[in-house]
Amino acid sequence: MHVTTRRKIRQAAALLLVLLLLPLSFPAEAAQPEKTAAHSLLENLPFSVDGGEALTVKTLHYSYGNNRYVSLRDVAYALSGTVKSFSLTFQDGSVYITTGAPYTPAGGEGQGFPAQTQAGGPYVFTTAGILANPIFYNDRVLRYPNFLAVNPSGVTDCYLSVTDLALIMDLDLHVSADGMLLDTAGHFSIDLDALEREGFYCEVHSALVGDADTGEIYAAWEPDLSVPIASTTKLMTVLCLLDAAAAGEMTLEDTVTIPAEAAVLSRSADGVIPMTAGQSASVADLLRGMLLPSSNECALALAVHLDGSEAAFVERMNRKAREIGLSDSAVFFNCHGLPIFTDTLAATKVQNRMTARDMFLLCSHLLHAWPEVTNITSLKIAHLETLNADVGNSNPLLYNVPGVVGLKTGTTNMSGLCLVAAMEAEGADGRTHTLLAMEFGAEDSPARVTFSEELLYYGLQRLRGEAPADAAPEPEPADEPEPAGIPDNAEDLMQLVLRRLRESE
Amino acid sequence: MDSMAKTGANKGSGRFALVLFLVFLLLLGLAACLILQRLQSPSRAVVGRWRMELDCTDDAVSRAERWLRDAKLGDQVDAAAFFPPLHVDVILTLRRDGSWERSLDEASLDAARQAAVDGMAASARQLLRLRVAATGRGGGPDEYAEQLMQDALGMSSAAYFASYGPELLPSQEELRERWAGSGSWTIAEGQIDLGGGPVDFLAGDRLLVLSGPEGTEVYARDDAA
Repeated sequence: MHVTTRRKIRQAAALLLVLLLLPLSFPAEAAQPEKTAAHSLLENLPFSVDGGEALTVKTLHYSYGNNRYVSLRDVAYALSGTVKSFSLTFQDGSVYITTGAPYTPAGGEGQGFPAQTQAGGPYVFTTAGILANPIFYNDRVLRYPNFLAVNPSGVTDCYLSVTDLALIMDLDLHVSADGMLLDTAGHFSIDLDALEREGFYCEVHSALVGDADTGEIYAAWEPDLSVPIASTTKLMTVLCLLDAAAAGEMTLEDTVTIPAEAAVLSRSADGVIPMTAGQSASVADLLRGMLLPSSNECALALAVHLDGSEAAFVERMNRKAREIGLSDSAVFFNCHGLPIFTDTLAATKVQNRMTARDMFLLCSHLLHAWPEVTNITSLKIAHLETLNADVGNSNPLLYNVPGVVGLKTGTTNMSGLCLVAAMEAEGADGRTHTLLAMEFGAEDSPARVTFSEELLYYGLQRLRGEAPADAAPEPEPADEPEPAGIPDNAEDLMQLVLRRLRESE
Repeated sequence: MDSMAKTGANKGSGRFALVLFLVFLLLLGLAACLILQRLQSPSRAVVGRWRMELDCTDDAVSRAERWLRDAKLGDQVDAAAFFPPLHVDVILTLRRDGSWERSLDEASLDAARQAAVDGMAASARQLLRLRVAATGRGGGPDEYAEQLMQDALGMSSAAYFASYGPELLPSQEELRERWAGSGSWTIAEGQIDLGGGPVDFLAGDRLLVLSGPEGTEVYARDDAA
């Protein structure tokens, strides 16, 4: 046999040998233990109404533990026959709730999640995830994040945040890991001191609620912290425009020629309403476009129309801030609230900023000077004839809270989700007041909605004189003989430490 | 001469090729036997040293919360936020001679106890901050609460809970009674018996699962052995 051939045979044999023995040197892959979530996704909770026998309701923890969403079917079933009863139906991805109407059970209510389906497999339901599925609540259409879920029997259910449920239905509802308690004779209420102790304000950078008519601030968190304000900037923009119109510098019946920079902005990632340079649009349409869907190009078009350039308009904004008494923390770089880079060698990304206290002053001034601005900010939808656009209001509270008349949302990466809300309500004095509730820095839309609503409801309680009394300081424990030895329970330990603290002061 | 030399050379190379081929077949057969043996011998699959993690976290958190709730505002402390995962390891050794031994990994038990004490101390400091805030003084940071505790107790909060705090984990005696032991093991009809009755089992290269009336135990091959 030829030498080359022998060599090739040896090489082939060696290769075959290696390939055959190779698998033996690697251990078989073992199935990795399935990772479990840090908290339960599904949870059955006992639910007692008016102290009666507890049913078991199905709850979901969405993304985080204690971020509970509860089965509306279970709640409807539990409230049947009470003053808080409601009917619940589903159609085309929407939820229909009618208070006072009887609920028709679909089966399985009040029993919690079963451990297994009848086929013996794990409990599974199908859902498209958390969405703003429309909730038709009596004569209103609400916008709250919710789950629509179809259980293994094909029955559709809706899971709603327990907080949002209590807000919507005015429920005196208490929720903990031990269960849910509801008093149908009670009402939803906010104990802001208790909430603050539990970290209520951790969700935002700053917040404030007060009476725009009296100037009284009911509660505030970091009210003097300078924060980016995103598109809530447009409240200053509209104030400047309305003041200019009153001064004869422009009229609200003007026709605006869309400048090139607005057209360019409209076609960018931050564009809302498409525009072309040279197009004509009415001031009225541009104002609605600016305040409802927060169109940045509408704001820019108006600014350039008034002052010839955005830079000149921004100077007007900063002057106005000083005129109405805002602090030095109120700084404007543009008319819309988007982040921009400064025009320098070491370009810096900047955003309009002010404090919550400044925003309260600005909005109070705006509502006092131009109360008719709420005719725009309270619109849920509008047709902008000259812009050939149908727009909707980005403020979710307009849909969820009766009496809300505006004012403006704002979002950038740095500012988080911001909301300045105004609500007209009758006070304890029998007169109509305008409450202002604002937050800056919420992490996501559900947080913005729930936080703002809770703050607004607290303001409403204070306006009506219904707020729980401020938590009294813990009464100093009476002097007791010092227990001998080391404390062996939590209360004794706390008492010991607090006694030592008092003695040291 | 040259042709005879060539013929001789050809015969030699042919023999070499034949030998090589026979060796190859031999090795192929050996490999097949090894593979088959590993696949078909459950006894061989279970022999070795195995480690199971007992998750004591939920139990410890529940005990901590019960302790905290004896105090005013104790129900406002989320104890789970202060506890890391608490695992106690159980070592199971199955020997070829049919004997087995199971014991607690004392080091993991000590580590879990310390972590539980630290979690309890942190929870208690949070409760103290709430109580101080309720007196109108302002809660202060965690370090402030620790300082208050040291001033009152004469020891750190962790030292207090290590000596005087609630039992957060099962005692060493309880754990040993449940998990420590030795005996003989057998495999028959697809089940393994460690002396307490046959139970279903599943053995892979890295995992050993025992499933019986008392529950399921999942062990991982202990490479540290």
